[in-house]
Amino acid sequence: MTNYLQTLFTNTTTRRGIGAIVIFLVIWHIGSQLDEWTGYDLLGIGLVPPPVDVFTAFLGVMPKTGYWMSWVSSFSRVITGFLVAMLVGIPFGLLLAVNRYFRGVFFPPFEILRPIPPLAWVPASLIFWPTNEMSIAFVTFLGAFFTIVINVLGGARNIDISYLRAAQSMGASQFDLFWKIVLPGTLPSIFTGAAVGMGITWEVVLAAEMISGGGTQGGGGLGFFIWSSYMGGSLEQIIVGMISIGIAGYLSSSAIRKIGFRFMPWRRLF
Amino acid sequence: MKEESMAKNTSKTEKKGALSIKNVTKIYDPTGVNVMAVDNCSMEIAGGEVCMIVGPSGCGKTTLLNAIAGFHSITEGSIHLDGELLCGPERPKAEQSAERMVVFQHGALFPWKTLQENVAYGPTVQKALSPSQAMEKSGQMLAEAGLGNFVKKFPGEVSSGMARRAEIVRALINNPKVLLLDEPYRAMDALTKQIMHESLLETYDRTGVTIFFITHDLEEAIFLGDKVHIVTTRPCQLKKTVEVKIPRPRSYETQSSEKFRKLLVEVNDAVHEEAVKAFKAGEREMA
Repeated sequence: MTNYLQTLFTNTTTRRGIGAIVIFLVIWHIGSQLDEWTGYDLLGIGLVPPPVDVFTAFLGVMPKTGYWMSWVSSFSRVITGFLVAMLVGIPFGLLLAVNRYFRGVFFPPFEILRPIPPLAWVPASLIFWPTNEMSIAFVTFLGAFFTIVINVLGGARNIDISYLRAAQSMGASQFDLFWKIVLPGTLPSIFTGAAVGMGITWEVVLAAEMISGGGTQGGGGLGFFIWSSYMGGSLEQIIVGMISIGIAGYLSSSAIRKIGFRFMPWRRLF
Repeated sequence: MKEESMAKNTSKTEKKGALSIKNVTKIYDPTGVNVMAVDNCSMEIAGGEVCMIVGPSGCGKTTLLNAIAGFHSITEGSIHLDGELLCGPERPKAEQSAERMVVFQHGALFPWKTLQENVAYGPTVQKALSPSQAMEKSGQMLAEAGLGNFVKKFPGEVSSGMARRAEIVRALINNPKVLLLDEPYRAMDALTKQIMHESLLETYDRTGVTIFFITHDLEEAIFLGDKVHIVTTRPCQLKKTVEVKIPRPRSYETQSSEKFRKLLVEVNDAVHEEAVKAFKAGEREMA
């Protein structure tokens, strides 16, 4: 453990990252205090609470279970929507790529539904689905689904034809071709789709939470946490919510990267 | 080693992998505009021969290779391998088979498999060997090709030269009758090319597989080949065949011999004529 921490802090990349955050905080602090010090505010931005105040507000919400419940409910919505999108989207995208008839039937409606922004689905899904929770999960699912499918489809159709020819010459069956060539050949695109889809999922879940108006304490999620902080007029707490989302998104995408490396050892070189 | 390979060369008549290309024509018709890529092209390639195909860019050499490999159909004519019909009037497209292995221009090792897994792929999917046996044999063959230290590497981790050598091993593990190479050393620097040539010749001396090799590089053609077939600009036809009567095994000094230089001039004259024609045709198309 100490070893791990040691290497973490001696690592140049980590040091640069930490340095950048520190510099950002200093600029933030100066910016927020400039009005008081000189009478001129920075770039016309008025009431920005200084980082220290935000940190104090963070310490304030830390012991509250409501805050942590917001994390849990947002995360569980994101993960539900995202996992369902992966489970449905990957086979759907692969089928679109390899089967001409399937593509003929399903691609046109898919392309008509795809440009509809997930947020435009919110009112409709609130009406269609029996519970708030299901509506939010559905909208989250849509956010990730289209991105994943488009990436899988593109990835599978862009596999170098030489790979397929080589495998066929060596005697690969259709089954071998799919599982040993098409699928691993599409993995990089699957993970690109997953990373982008995960980002969209977070965007969507927060907006959906704000619109649907949460519910019980903590059940509203991080999006509702920001919204209720706004209603309560706590500027510091709004920023706490925003930063929490940033961290949550960062954790999600690092997890995807980690899993990606696991599944694609040959990509470690890049 | 030397004697063994000499012995193999003398018994060429019994060797497998004789290709007979008779009056092959290929017309592409993608947009209703007929493009004749190959026109009435005939070639006889003896079993165990290294046959080099030289001609201007875009002349239809690869079309011919694709027809032999079974990637594309032909419009007319026929191709036989050891007297068996690959493609002809009744069957325009040959079946893909491990007896005709292709080494691709840009390389087609599967990036998600290590070199050893790549080489083991053929025998595994053919169920000729169990997966563990295939891996073992693959490891041996890679070691014989001087890649013993790289068996666990992914293609992206080795140089293009090593990757190409591994790809040839991946083809050879299937005991093909014919090895089809489509400008495999095109993008390589001169030094790497030398090593590739020596390694290919060494492999050839060991296996005696028939080699159908497409190239632009005339020195490469003469150095490696038993025969150099010069083909015309599109549509592809056989223009001239130059026999290379330089004994094997050949070493790099061969390239400075007078015989070699004379052959080079002969081939160059024939190719140059076609290159000029191709260039002029290109100008006309652009105009």
